[in-house]
Amino acid sequence: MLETLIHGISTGSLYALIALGYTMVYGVLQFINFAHGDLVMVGAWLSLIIATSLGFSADSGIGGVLAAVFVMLISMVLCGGMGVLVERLAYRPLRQAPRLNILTTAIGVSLLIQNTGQLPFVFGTETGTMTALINDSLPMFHLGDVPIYTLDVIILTLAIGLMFALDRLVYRSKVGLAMRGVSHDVDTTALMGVNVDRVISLTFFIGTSLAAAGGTLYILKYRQVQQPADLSWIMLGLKAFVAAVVGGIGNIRGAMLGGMLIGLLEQFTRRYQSPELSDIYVFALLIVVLLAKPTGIMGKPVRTKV
Amino acid sequence: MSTPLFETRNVSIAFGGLKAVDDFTLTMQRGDLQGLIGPNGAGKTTAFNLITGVYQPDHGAIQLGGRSLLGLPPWKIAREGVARTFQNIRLFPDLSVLDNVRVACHLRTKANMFQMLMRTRQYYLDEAELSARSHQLLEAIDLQDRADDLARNLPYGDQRRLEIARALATEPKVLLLDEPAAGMNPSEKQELVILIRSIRQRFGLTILLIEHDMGLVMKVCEKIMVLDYGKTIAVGTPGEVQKNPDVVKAYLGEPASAGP
Amino acid sequence: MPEADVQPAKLSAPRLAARSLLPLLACVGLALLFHLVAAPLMKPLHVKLAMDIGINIILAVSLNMINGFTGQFSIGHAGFMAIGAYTAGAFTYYGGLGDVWGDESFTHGILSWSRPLADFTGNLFTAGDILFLAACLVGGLMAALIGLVVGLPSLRLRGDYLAVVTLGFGDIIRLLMELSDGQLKTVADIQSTPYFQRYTHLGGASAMSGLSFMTTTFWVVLFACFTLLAAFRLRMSSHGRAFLAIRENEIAAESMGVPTTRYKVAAFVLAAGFAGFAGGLFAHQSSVLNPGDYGFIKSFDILIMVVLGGQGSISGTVIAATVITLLSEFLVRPPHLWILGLIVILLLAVFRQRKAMRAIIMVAVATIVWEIARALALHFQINLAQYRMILFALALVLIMILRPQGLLGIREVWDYLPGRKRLPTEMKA
Repeated sequence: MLETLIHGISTGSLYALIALGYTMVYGVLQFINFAHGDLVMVGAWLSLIIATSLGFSADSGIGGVLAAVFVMLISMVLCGGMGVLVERLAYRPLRQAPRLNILTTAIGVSLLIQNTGQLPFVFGTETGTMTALINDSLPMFHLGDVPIYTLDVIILTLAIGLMFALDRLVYRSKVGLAMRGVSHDVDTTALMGVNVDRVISLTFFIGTSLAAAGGTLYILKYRQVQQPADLSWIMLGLKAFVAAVVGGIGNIRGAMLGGMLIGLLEQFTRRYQSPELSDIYVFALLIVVLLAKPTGIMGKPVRTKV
Repeated sequence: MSTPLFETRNVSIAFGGLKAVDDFTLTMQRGDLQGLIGPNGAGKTTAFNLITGVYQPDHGAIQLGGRSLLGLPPWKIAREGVARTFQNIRLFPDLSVLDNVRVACHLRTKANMFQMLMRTRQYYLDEAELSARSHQLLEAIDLQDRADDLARNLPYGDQRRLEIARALATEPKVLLLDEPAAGMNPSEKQELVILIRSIRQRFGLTILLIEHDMGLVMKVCEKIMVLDYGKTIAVGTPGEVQKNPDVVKAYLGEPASAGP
Repeated sequence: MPEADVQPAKLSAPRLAARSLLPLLACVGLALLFHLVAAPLMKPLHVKLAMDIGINIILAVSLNMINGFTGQFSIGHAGFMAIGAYTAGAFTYYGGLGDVWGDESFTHGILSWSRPLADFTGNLFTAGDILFLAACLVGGLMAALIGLVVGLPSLRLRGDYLAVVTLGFGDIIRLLMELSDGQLKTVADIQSTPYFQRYTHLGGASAMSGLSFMTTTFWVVLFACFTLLAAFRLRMSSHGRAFLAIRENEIAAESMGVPTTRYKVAAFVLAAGFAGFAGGLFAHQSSVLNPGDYGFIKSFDILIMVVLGGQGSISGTVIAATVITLLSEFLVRPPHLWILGLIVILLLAVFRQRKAMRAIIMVAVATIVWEIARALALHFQINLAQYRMILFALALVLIMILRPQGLLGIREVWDYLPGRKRLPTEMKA
């Protein structure tokens, strides 16, 4: 039971990181970036390639952690750049268009990323395996009689650290103020002298780099990643999306909360019922939330002006 | 005094902590032409939205011909006989002018989906009748020459008139006009006055009008209600309302030299 | 279409009946013509392609009712297809029509006979045909019912939320099919299982095989024509205008008396039903029920057909469905296309407008690019098919950015013919 709890929190923080990206983009552009989940995949694969080509290997000391952080940062920057590129090329031209158009485009971008990733000269269609960066054969310590492994601790620390950093950025900095302004009212914020385009690009950069962080942590933990168009990535992205919605889309703290909830839900149903059912439960939760309170746990209801 | 055709009693709604409309009470007899004025944000369009079912009031009663309209969705209220135009024009931009009107005729058709799919006699009867009525309405607002044009391509003044024709197509008893003269030049406003009077007579309508153009309101309306911050601050004939100090204060503020 | 300008006074009962029913008979005639005359003259591969096109037309036109007519965003349409396919497939398989039951030559009528006609030995119309039709119908109804269950709560939600729900729905259906019990493979097994329990044995992840090959060009052409007829009648009617009004401005539509949620659900249910029926046809064409066939890729294929053709245009969707189906096949075995390009250019020349000029240039460029790509692919041994999804995804993005109204927007092909009253301006989105 405690073990499942640990797994739940660990997975939950992964989902939370990815959910943050969804929620930030939704906050500024009012749309669900379907392509977000695919950038998690890219992040994971990039980490794999970087770690392998730089010849990193398992190390039980601080070296392993540093290597992991290094790989993660590079992956984050690269993916963040990709996110900015996608926004610039595919979403910016559609800012004035009806919402449905940008949603359709997002689907196109998502499939484009998946299928381009599958090309032999990109990531290929085989499963990838990553060398362990952190030697994990012995647990770090024990909680009762449950072994707690270094890797999980590191993942949790990194994830929570990133979330704290983001929270400080959004709620206590000038840039964050600009971001919140854009998410409330683009036109007025622009009138206040804020360069809206740059704020949006920054938002995409941050959101996408968090997705990459999630992907990197995923591959650090599970060490095997499926090929780019594999269903597991879509499920991962979808579950993170559900987390964002359940927590309250557009709400950063909601995304963190939602991520944890979904992680716990998934791990508990996996352990006590069955893996396939856990997927269905997650979807069912989404539908229940959408029907009962579409704005999510921490969201506020919005009225359209008639 | 006969029972009023349309009345609201103590209708209120609050958004968050703010009372947008407070104790809104209105009575209209058949054939009345009444105005609803007040500064921006006074709650006039909110009152329209309450009457037409877009919002549900927190308190109060709304009745048409003795039947309560409370809790009904907008489409049912339209079927009961209340139609409206919108402050920010809401036409169907990629449909033709004629089709914009024909859509509003739909609620009076009798054929159901099966009859429509099988093209029964009822279907053809409905289509002929609604096309004829739509053409008539376009003639009434002088847009029949542009029947096949896309609504999005109409000049602004024509678009406002088209909204009126569309509302008329629902065969309403009560017509709510939300700033129909906004953006019109003086000659267009003159024509609008004539139009409003003529449709009232021709279709036996009861009309409630939101407007900011005081000249137009005073000329056209028999009775005027003034809102400010959601509350009704005056009701009366145009002459009475013009002289009412509360009304003057609401629009113009306190005189600069007030006070000791 | 000048339908509505008919004077009711001139409509006697026989004329009404003719107007109502003759198009239906025409569909039957066309289907018979294709099946008995045209299909035997075509190569088997072409016959299969024709059936694929027909089924995709049904799927795309039905999705258009949701995405095009009412302007909603449904991206899990393959889920309804799956429901129809599995229901119909299980119905015939466990009901007496699968390979498991033995000799099949007595279960096919001539309309369901897909081999050379000269070899046909059975009756004209058999119990097998009836079972097949009933199966597809039940499949469609089942899909429509699920459409109601899914649509009723979801269509109150805003655009992106509905998209997510439909996406999730498509996946849930696939997951459920993968979780189902294994196929019952002998007659003894089937007969020892209580009737309704048989329906949980749908093959699971390893697919269900051995269904009868009942789908022929007759059935596909017939039901594609029926679908088109229904779609046109819906569109060119007061109900159709009400649907479009919901898409154009939902709040205004509701204020003018259109019951928006009800109509959105109606469009959803109707579309689900047609997709389910198409699923039944699909299942009996390939004789296999594979959950993977009905995943997001299929939903995406249908979506791109609707977007390319123009959301709201029925003829546009037909053209797009044909193009996409053919293109998917062509990428596997690239043929020469310059003859086709020439024909299309000649057809476009009929329209005699400046827009047609632009279209002609684009077709010419596309044909040249194709021939070059084909030559390169053959020379360098590249398999073009692996680029299919990339191509389609890229196409979707480019269409949305450059020409969101697709080929025909909200209009039909004949609206662009010369002599027709000129449209005032080019429609955006």
